[in-house]
Amino acid sequence: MITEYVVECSDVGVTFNMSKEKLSSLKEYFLGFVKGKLMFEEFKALENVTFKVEKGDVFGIVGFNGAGKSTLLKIISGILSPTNGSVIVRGSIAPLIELGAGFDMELTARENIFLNGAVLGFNKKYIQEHFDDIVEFSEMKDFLDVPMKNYSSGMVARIGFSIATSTKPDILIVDEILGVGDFKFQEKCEQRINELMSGGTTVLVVSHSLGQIEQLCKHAMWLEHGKVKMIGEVSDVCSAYKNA
Amino acid sequence: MKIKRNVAFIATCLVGICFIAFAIFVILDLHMPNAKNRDVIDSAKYVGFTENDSLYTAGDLSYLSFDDLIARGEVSNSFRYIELNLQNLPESGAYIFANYSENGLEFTEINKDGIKIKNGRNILKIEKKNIRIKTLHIHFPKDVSFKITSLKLHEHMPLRFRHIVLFLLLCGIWVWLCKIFIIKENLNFGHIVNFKKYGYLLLSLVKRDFTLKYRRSFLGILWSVLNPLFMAAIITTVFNNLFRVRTEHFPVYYLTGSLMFTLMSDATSGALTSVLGASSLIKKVYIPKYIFPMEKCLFAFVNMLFSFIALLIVMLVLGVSFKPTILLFWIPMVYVLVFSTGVGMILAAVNVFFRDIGYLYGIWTVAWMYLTPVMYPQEMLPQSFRNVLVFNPMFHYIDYFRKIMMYNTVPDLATNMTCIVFSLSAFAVGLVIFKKTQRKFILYI
Repeated sequence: MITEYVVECSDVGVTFNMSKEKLSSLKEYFLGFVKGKLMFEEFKALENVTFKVEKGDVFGIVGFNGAGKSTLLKIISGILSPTNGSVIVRGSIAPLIELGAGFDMELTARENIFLNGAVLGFNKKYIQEHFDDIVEFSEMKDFLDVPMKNYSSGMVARIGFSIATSTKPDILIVDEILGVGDFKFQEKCEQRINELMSGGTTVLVVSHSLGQIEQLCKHAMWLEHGKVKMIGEVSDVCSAYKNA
Repeated sequence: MKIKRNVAFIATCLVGICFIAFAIFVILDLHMPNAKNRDVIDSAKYVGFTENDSLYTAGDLSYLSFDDLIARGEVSNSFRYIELNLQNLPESGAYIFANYSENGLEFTEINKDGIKIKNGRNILKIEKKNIRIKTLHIHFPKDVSFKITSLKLHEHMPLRFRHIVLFLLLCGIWVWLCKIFIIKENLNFGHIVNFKKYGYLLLSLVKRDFTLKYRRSFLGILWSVLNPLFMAAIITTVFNNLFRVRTEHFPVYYLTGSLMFTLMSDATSGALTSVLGASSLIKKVYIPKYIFPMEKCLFAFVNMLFSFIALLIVMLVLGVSFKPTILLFWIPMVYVLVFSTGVGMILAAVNVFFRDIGYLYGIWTVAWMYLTPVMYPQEMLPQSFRNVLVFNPMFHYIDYFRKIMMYNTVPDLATNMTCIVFSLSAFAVGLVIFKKTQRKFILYI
């Protein structure tokens, strides 16, 4: 059987321009432009990152702060485009990068479920069909018609997670979100992710909790300063990372 | 593959150039000088002007009679433009009349709106379209010598140097756009599928803006109707009493203009900040970014529809009769929507990199409103100014809307073409600029 790769990153690099000094006036801008160098300092957030994720795999990404983990996830979910290299993604993505992106705090939870669903690319019919499930899972039935600005952060996260996982995506991207909510809801989240995994969904996880990575993942990658330090079985990578 | 693309490139260029040429000719009523339909007489040969006395000392009317020319089939008499070449003319003005009645008593003054007859080439337009001109009278001040070097009659406006420059400029822009679209970006139709997928998002965002706009106000949606009503009342009072503008049904005149203009200004200024305003979304989820300026334009459109109700109410109260042409009201609205979406996308993209645009555009909108006959009747403008007005797209849209709402006329093909050309070219330029820059948005917001 030929292994099917869902995510293929080859030689991906991302360069940010960090403006060294603020160009405050048009004159400065034009001078810089004419001289051929706008005073930007390049910062390589990612460099030559190459890896593949098999279908159905649970892939963990570990690394210290600022190693480029979140940037990599943003590239895979299409929010950022890489400066060089290429990313191939096969299938639909549910990004759980920041829960509740697109929530408008002035609106009620009911309105927000529809809005956020639309942001994630669902159509109206789909959301109507799954509305009850979403509310059920989030356990927020009593607060549906309250403006979101009156919610606590845990409550917002519950709704966000419920919407994002209401679909059965091909790829699920999880970025540090399992730390939200109380332990009971965390368990529920993990259970939902496990359900999705057993249904053939590929999962990419970023977490600082090594225990969680070791528990969930099969393979892992260690990023350091935007470069791949190690890819392999989760136990090998984690033990190497712990000793670093 | 490469050959295919080059063929596509050349073909699109050619189609575009034909389109531009057609559009310019339609807008400006131009005429390519070719032998077949060029109605020309050389003045010197005919009545009144002979080669010997082409130097005049005239105090009275000199005139040209066309009757014998028409009889001989040399002039078709459907000319609308007179091209007059003069030399040694003094500063003070000369007048040209055309006589169009059998008894020679009914005149139409051709250069009435302050078009000065100058030395060199003059192109004068006969306003009335379907009159048979019998004689052409040229009246010069007393005791002056001048020389008529040539006199020609045209059915269409003769081609001038600035038209060629305009044509070449537009062709250049078109070729440049094609180059970007076809050679650099791979032309693909994936966007359309994408658009279908995100259509619901577009509607949800419009709905969100709408609920947020009127949340916590007692009258809610009614404000969208009341606002233009109050504005019309104020402007009518000011203009009727202070500036003594006398237009029939001034409130309707004002509302038709302001409806179109507010749609454009609301849509574009909403779109201006749309990408920056949605930064939290753009940073976290993948959404096609053109959704944001488009959403703001649609939102302005929905608001405008409520103002349209206000217009209907005013018409009903003032007793303006409802003509069947009113059913075409949506056509100019769609033109303006497409136009503002294009302009909005340009502004949204540029505003990400240069925040100054926001302030500049605010000032420009005010200037633009006064440059467009929204509050004052268009006849108030001097002729020189009216010539520039044809390049103001908003003028065409407003004029179109008024024709339909107030004057019971269906605008002809030329007017429609003008509107379409303005709308589509703004949309195309906006789309290209937005597409070219959207990759970099996330680094600047």
